[in-house]
Amino acid sequence: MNSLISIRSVTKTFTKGKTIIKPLENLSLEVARGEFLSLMGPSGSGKTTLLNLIAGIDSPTSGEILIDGNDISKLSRAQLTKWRSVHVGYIFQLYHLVPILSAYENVELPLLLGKLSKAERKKKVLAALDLVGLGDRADHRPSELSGGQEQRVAIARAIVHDPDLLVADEPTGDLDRDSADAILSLLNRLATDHGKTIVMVTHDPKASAAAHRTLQLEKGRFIEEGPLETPA
Amino acid sequence: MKLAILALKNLTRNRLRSLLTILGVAAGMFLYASVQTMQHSLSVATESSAADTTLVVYRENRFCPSTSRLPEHYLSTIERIPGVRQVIPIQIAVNNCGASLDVITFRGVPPETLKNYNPGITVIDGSYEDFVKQTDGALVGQHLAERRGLSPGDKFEAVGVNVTVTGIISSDSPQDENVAYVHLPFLQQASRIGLGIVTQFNVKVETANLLQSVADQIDQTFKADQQPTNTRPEKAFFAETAKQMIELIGFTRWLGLGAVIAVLGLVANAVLLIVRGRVKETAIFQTLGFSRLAIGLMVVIEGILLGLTGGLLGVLGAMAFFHFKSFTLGNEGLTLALSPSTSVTLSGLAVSVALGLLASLYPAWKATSRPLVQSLNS
Amino acid sequence: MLPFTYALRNLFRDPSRLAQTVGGSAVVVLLLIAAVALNQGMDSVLSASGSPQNVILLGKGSEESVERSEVSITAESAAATTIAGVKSLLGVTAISGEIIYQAPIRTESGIEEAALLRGVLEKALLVHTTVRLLEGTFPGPGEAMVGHLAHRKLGIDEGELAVGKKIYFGETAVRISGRFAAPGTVLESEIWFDRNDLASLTQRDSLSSITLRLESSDMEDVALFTFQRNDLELSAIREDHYYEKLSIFYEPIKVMTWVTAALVGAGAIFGGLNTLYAAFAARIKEMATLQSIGYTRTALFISLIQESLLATLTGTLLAFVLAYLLLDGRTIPFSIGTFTLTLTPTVIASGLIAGILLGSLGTLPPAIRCLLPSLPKALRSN
Repeated sequence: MNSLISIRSVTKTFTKGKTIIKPLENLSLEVARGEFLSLMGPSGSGKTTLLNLIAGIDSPTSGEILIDGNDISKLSRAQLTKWRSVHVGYIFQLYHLVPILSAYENVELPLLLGKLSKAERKKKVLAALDLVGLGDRADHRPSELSGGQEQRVAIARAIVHDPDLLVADEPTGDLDRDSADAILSLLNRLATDHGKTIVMVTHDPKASAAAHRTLQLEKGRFIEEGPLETPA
Repeated sequence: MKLAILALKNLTRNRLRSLLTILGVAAGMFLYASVQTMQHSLSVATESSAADTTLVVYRENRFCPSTSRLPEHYLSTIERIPGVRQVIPIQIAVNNCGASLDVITFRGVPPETLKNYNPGITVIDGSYEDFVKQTDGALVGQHLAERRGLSPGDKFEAVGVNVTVTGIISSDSPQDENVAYVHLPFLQQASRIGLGIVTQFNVKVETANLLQSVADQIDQTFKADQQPTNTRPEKAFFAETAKQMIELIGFTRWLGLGAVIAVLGLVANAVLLIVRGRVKETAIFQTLGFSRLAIGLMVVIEGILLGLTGGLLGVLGAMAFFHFKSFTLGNEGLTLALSPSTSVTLSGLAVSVALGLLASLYPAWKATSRPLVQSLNS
Repeated sequence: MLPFTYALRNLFRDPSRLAQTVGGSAVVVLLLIAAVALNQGMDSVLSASGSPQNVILLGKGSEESVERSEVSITAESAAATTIAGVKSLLGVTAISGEIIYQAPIRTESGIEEAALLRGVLEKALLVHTTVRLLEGTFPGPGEAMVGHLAHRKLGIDEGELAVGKKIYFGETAVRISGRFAAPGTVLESEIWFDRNDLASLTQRDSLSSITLRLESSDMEDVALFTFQRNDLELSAIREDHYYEKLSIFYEPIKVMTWVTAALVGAGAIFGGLNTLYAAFAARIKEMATLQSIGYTRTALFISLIQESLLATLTGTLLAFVLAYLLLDGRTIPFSIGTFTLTLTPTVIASGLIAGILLGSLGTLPPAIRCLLPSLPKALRSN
């Protein structure tokens, strides 16, 4: 078993006013290293909640989440922040680039948290931008890029610090067909050729098709549990 | 009406912003109302009205009471001038001539004639008879009594003079509420001016239209004497004597203006923020069928509500402040009581509504000036 | 830590918001330093006007206002002969009996204004040691010398009181013989007459006060004199204490300036808070994104403070420039003299502190609100 992610009996509850909401109930999941997993399901099925738990953006009410052997469900907020900066890259539906920074500066952001010199950072940033095919647009601001290009910059930002885990929340939700296809094939390459483990939430069946495995969520539980496969 | 209710609901959506704005407006309007109260009190004291019948006879070219010395015997001469109904000699001793908030004024008058001269004086505590009988007795105006915490029986020393409080008075003449009336000969001796000398004569004429002619006649009579006089209607006398205080109050006009500008800016800022945060929502309203005018109107109503609420708080607060804490400005022996007035309250509220309206015009226009499609997509 | 350029560039994101924050802080700081300068100016002229080495003899009961005081002329010689340890120069004792009077003065061009008059003899210079003759001569009979700020007190042109011109007290003409300075004191707003002239002009046979400059004696010796000569009905007060007591009268006016500054300042601060709340609310998502990348809330908080400080300190600078152009050096007349508004180190320091507090403390509530929501919520926020 070469699992990067081990989720064991995880439940998430929160209260909204007087109602108790349980997006996830007693969920378990194993994700292998280098696997590209897609999570699908209707609104309110709990898929984003699960994603946030895996990314260390939220903590479960009960259960364990082991990532690369670390139980992140026990970490404090400060520890989680630190952990995220090293181990996770997050890709959002609306890219969430900082509008006043150039593409280069946006991608550089995660590296500023570390101890690299300026020259070392430059090397990594340019490498990441090259990988996503935007090496020539390093000085452009987000307002000067197309939607597809912005998402690619976001992906570069997510991989620049070489995390094991990439987490993507509807990465193609706001893109036209061609750009979406380009993004999906990039993600596939990152998993297949570069060994990144990717967990993606999506509504788009075509997006799911690009992944190695798809799981359906409904009301906080998996409908189909596909067999655990190791990637080819 | 529906628009107004919508506007009110909108304001409660962002309570913090509305609260901050209202508090800021209240602060500004408090200042504005205070300034207006001062201006109003001053104009009441200095602008003559048709019913004025009082003249003040003062030493020519003198202002501070200690420098105006008129012979007491002028009294009989003045009484004989046609048109004069009543005269009272007054010796004034004051602790400071410069404009200030803590002025103690003694008025020495012949005790028996005081009530005669001004029937409007009512004794609210103590007794008038005690005052007449006791040589060092004093009738203290209610504002002065409040300020110094005096009641009948207290001994009180100021300006080098020791008196016993025999009564507290209130009067229709505002000057009376801030002074202490004492016996004339007593004050003349205590302040070492000497018997036979007074500061001024207050003269009541028979009818208001005789005011100027009697004044001229009085001055003409004493023109060539050792102590020539300058006789003016009471209000004009105030206006020409209390120059420093008038200057000070005039200066506060700028403060009032500053307050108004600050309030205008504050409300405009708040309404602009409101509008900018609701671009999409405004567009949706338009697609629902609300006209641009209706939406603009709603914004303006929000501005007016903010202005009015803050204005109520500030203006009424100022009025309460002046009502409970009686402020009196003194200058050259004259006193000006700052008291709240209905006209200032109403004008203050009107101003805050107007400011709310004015401040929302530009934001209201901005709310509906963008093309609909752009706003929907924002 | 987020790079400084992030904070800097964020400022220019919304030019109107920047203008509001800079303008708002400028208003608050300007009001504050105006109030501080006003208070300081008034206090310093009152404290400089009185010397601890001088003692004033006033009529009993008039310790609060020298204008109302009456002192017999014989007291001057009595004091000179009885009180030991009074300073003397070339055989002249530093004892100055003076008449102090407020009355309207008319200039040659017909302008009439209330002026502060002091009737003195030459001995006055021994007592009022700050007085320096700038031009002309000490006034003799029929003459007067003007303080170099007297024209400001009267609110007229400097030229109206130039040496050689005439001024009128009632119908009597008096020639201006000289101009004097008495830096930082109320004296320089006065017009000094020959004492005998003023006595006859005002029909007074008594002095207002007698000022002595002490050398080897102290207040007790002077107080003793007033007790011994009870018949003269004098009271003694040290000159600096006299002016201290005067300043108490101006407390209400000072309070008024502070209250005004506070009220308008409060309005500006509330407006600023509103603006900041709105501006930061629009960036909750961005803050959440940076947190998801791994930036701590503290780092983000510091960046927000940096941003605000840049804006408020710019506003502070603007306020200083405006204060320098509009306020510095301005003379303000009040009842017994004039004082000058100066941007002293205290004034500047208080402005600076205000700017820093506005940028740090003032940013606290909106920044906390912006960073408070939990990450998942913030990432979804609108």
